[in-house]
Amino acid sequence: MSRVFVLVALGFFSCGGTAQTRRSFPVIVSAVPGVLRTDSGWTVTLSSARASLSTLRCFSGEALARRPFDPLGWLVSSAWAHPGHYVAGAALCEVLTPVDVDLLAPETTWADAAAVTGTYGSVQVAFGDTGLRLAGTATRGADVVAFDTGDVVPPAAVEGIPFAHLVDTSVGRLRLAVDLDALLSRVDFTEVGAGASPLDPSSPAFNGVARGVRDSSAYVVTWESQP
Amino acid sequence: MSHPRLIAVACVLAWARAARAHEDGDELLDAGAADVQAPAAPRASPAVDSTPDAGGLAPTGPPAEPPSYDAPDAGAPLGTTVVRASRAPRSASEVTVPLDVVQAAPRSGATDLLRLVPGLVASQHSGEGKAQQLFLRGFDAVHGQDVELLVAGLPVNDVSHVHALGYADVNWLIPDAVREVRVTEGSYRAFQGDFAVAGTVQYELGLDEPGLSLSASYGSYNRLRLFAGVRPTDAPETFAAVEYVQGDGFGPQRAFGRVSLLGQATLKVGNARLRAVVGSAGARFDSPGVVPQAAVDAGAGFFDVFGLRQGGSTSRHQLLLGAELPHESGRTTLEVYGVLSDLLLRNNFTGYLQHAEGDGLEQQQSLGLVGARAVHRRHFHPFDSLVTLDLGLGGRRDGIHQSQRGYREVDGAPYRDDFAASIVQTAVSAWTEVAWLPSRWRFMLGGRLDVLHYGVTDELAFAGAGATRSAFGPHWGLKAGVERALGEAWRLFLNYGDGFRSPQARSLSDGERAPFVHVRGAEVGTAFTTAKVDVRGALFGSYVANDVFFDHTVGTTVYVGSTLRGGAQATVSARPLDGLLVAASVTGATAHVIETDSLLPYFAPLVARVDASYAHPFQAWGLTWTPRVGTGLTLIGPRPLPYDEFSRTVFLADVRAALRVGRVELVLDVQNLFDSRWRDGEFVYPSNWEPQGTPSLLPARHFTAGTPRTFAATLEVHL
Repeated sequence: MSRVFVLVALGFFSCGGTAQTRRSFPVIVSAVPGVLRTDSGWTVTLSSARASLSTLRCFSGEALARRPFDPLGWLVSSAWAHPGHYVAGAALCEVLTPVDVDLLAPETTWADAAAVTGTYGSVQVAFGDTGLRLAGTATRGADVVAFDTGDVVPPAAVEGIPFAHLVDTSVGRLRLAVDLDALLSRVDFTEVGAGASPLDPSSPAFNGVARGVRDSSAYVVTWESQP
Repeated sequence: MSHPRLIAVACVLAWARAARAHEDGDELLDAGAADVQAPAAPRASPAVDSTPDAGGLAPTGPPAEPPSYDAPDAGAPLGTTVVRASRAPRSASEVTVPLDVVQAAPRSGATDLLRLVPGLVASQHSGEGKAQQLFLRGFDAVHGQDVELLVAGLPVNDVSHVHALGYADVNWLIPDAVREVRVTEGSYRAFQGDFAVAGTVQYELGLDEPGLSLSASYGSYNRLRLFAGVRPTDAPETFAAVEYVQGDGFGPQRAFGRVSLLGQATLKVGNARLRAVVGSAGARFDSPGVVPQAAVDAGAGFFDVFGLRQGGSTSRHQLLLGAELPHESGRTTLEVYGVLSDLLLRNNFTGYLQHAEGDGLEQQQSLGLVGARAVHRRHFHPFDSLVTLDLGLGGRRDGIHQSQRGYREVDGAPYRDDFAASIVQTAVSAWTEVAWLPSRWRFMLGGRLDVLHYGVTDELAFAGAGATRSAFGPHWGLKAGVERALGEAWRLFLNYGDGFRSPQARSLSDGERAPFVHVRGAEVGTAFTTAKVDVRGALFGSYVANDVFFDHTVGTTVYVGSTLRGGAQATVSARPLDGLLVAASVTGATAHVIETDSLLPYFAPLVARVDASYAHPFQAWGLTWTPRVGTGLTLIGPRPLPYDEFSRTVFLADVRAALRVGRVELVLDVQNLFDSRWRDGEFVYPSNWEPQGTPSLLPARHFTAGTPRTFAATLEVHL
């Protein structure tokens, strides 16, 4: 009897819900397709690209790494914080299951993210023990360099990957795409000589890869709605 | 006729006359006192003087059988019994909880005293010493920001408190010294001040019996309570009482101890009635923190500790001096008061979420408060009708020093200063109520003006050099009511009122016009009152234009825009048979954010409470034997939580059995009779108690464990 009373009363006084709700969605990992060309003119062909990912988290804080095009901004300019001023904010989604990803495969399903609805602003990705490892050849004119980066493990999670999206209860999935072109853009294979396997961790080439892994602009996060 | 019955009859007569006075426009009603003289019974206490305050309230039940001032063995001289009836209520939700309801069920402390308020949920989520979290009429009042609390005229809510706005700690209140609880829900009366958003609760003090009362109580978890009180026979509101309580608590890191001294003295000098209230209290308490539900799911205990070194200590010293000066057409009341209080509080609700060293917060607050108020009441008789005028003036100065710093979880060492501030907050208020009583109608129009001034010194600004800022702002509120009497027992009410809540001083910028949270409330209700039963019903609603949701567990403030609250409340108080008392209330409420059409989290949609007792005195072997049983039942429906979740339903049953033989009484109390594993508080927020692991940072369910079944035996001696 008392249970019925409670239910009836709640139906009257608690109709509706609070503003946000819990949900889940799949997280897909892939590489951004396209030619890989470094800033120093090397064209890279990968024979192997593997990433060991440990966690992915979404946050409410916006990543203000890029200034969107705003015509009015030319007239009335406003200051934008650089990425170092990024504030993560509240956690809105997370995948805590480690995964090994073949970035040469079309896509890899990581896991279902536990999430809540809300306005997302950015994503954080942490690498596992073996980080990222790329192997292949770099070509510039007649010069051909075979390389293997070895395990490149960033010292901390990559924060502030832009992902401005209102996640509601609609069906969809989140895609994390690694932009290998951007990631390798700093590497000058001239220093590598005829080849190195793996790259000397103290070499400028390895440092270029390590910087690329830590660069939040080397990752593209998008929401793919599904019917 | 026996003495208690004679007193009862006198009270009924007084009440009936007051009711008639109301309907006939008799000025006695609004003079605030209906003096009825009845021939005194042998051994009667010479005076029963229940003086209404500016709020003027009536009992929830018939004012018969007030056992509080029975003095069968007092040996008082013969004389005249003067009964001063309470004034009629001005809305359906103005109620007074009388002493016999207070005594019906076990009241082990302030949380139980707060549960006497119809519709109010009191959660004690951080040990026996921290202010309770309050929920009333769709408001999550946190630690008091939406409920104004007063004890014998002394303000309890702390303005600009370091832990939570309106922080209202009543743990120092001695249950035995509470004579009645006056509840004014809503904000429809002009005397209601800062924080009276959902309502005002006034505790009035007095001891039940004249002479010396001693009691000792021992119960579960080594809870020891000692009490001593003394009350002169001929001054029922005069008393002195002291309480000492200590215990291990019902789980680890829950030990506590407190001592409280309270006294009140009243004295008649000519026509004037002088009153003084004094109090001193100190407490120390541990707190186990908040338990993540995920940890319990993984095997942690329901009563486990999360976060070491949590708890705190408090002290409070207070004084009120008042004078009531009657005159031909009314009366004037003058009061000055002061409060000195200190609080040290350590909390860590989030583990290592924000800081690798731990998120523990140590908050300190020292308060010195002085204030004064004057209320002038007057009656006019234009055109053969009655007009009453109430004028109130008040001012108070709060001198506050507060600070917050982070401490390391591993050893408790402070490692981070968050803020330190000195605040001087000044409030000046003026209010008035004008009522016109033609025939069976009563029309009331009132207003209230509050002006706040803030001076803040941020001591850590500019690398410790400090920075000062000040703010200022007025608030104006309208009060209105219409009342219609239908016959002898039935009344209809329609009320409107603007309430407000002052802002936190530290949140103000220099020169800012102090922003008040402004609430507009309305209510329609009815009351049916006879000598044996009092039934009330009300529909209420309130609108807040720019509401704020403060999550005190993580210290975030979210502006949620316009909010709308509404609900219904019903209360019943009945004494159908000699010795039998039943008081019950049920309140349903809802709270919506208008823009998103979503529920506000945490409010209490359904609260029901029943207090019942039965006493049957008889004579045997030359002594008066009084067996007594009582129960208190509490039902709290599931509360909405963030992310479309709901808390669990709470049902608690407390029982009391007592036997008094002559001057000795033995009381056995059982609280949470069915040993429910209930969650006193439930929250949804992120925390991290695995600093070395890969924790989830998503908002998750947390709870504070409610008290399991406890037993207590009390031996009382009345000399």
